[in-house]
Amino acid sequence: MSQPPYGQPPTMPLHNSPAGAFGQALSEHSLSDHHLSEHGLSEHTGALSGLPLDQQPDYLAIQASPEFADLRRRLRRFVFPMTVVFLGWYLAFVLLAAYAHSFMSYRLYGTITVGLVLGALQFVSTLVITTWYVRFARRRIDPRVTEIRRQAGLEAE
Amino acid sequence: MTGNPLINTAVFVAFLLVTLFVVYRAGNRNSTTVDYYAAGRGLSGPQNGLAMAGDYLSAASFLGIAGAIAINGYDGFLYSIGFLVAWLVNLLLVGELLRNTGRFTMGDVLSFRMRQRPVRAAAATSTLAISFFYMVAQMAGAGGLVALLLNVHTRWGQALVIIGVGLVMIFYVLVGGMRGTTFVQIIKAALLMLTITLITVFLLGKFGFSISAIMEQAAAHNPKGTAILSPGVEYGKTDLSKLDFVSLSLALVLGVAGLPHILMRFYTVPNAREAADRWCGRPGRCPFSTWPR
Repeated sequence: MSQPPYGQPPTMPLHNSPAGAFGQALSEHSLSDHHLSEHGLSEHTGALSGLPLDQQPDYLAIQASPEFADLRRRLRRFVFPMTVVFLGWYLAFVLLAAYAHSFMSYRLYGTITVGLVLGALQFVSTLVITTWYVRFARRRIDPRVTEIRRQAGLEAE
Repeated sequence: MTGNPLINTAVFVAFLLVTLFVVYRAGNRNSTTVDYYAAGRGLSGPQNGLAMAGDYLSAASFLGIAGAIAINGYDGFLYSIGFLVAWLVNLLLVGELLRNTGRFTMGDVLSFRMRQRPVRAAAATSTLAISFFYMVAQMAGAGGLVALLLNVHTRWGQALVIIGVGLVMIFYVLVGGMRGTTFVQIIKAALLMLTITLITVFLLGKFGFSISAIMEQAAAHNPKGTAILSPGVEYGKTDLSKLDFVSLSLALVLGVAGLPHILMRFYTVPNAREAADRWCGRPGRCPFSTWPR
């Protein structure tokens, strides 16, 4: 077993390793689409999850499994459209603030301007999106994560 | 300068001693590298959420934005929206995926499946560069504030104060590690949110709970008058400055998500669920740390 080039592997309490192991699989997939084997994965993961090499879950198998692909697809189907929406809304707000001064200065009530209301709406939308995401992840992502972990032979947390 | 500098100093020193004690106690529980750099990954979602709020409520937001709004009115408000929306970038695009790699630093995670040295070098350089500029602004703000509290007006005095503040901060981090500084951030977040709520309520009460009244008063006392209620005071002067503002907003929303001191908080929770929990413990002005997830 090769020593990682960057020094002592972290010592982690055992109950954290399943989380670490699965998360590795999840983050592997998100960082790039290269196959794990091309980068001498065993060299890295031996130290990285704190488990000895012979107890490592089979990351390649997890990555290739249909459950994992489904999980990844579900996460992306939520995250990417939502990102487009909130970035678009933010950009619209910024452009209005930069170029539509008279519109933004229009007073709705007292000194409450359109600009102030739109800014407040940004706060509201951030809150709404956060709530939505938490609910989504809890209902759709977490059970699948637990299932994949269980199938990989790790304890469900 | 109102207030007795002696009392100010006493209160300041009292705060220092209390927080140093907390940090020392927390630091004593650090025994492994994971403890020191990632608080042993044992912090709960709500705890880390509050600490994250403390990180977000930096001198930049607390002093800087408040000051920008006081001077420029609406344009200062625009600045803060960028920070807010950046939160979502981190939540949706980074949170679930980044955590759970068993690593301590952004460099570790980035170099996960790539060649170690170039990626680590890049990550380290970017972290140092960002931290340097961030620190300069924070230190100047903190030093200026402390100098005001202690009634120090000479340039050398202020320089000494800034150096002193910096040394104290270094000491905090050395003694407490991640766990210690997390607890300091928790205390800070709780105190700040409490005082902000109180100030807001009292001020609103003083003006009859009318936001319009407060803003009119503010405009009356501002040299730029009611122009501050609209965008454009600071950023609307020329076409170039408007473009500058759009560029600034983009930098805010995309860049804040990459700040190393924000990212590293992801490594201190045991799993992705806690990471998302913790991230949701922060939003807005209220601590949603009991979010049902």
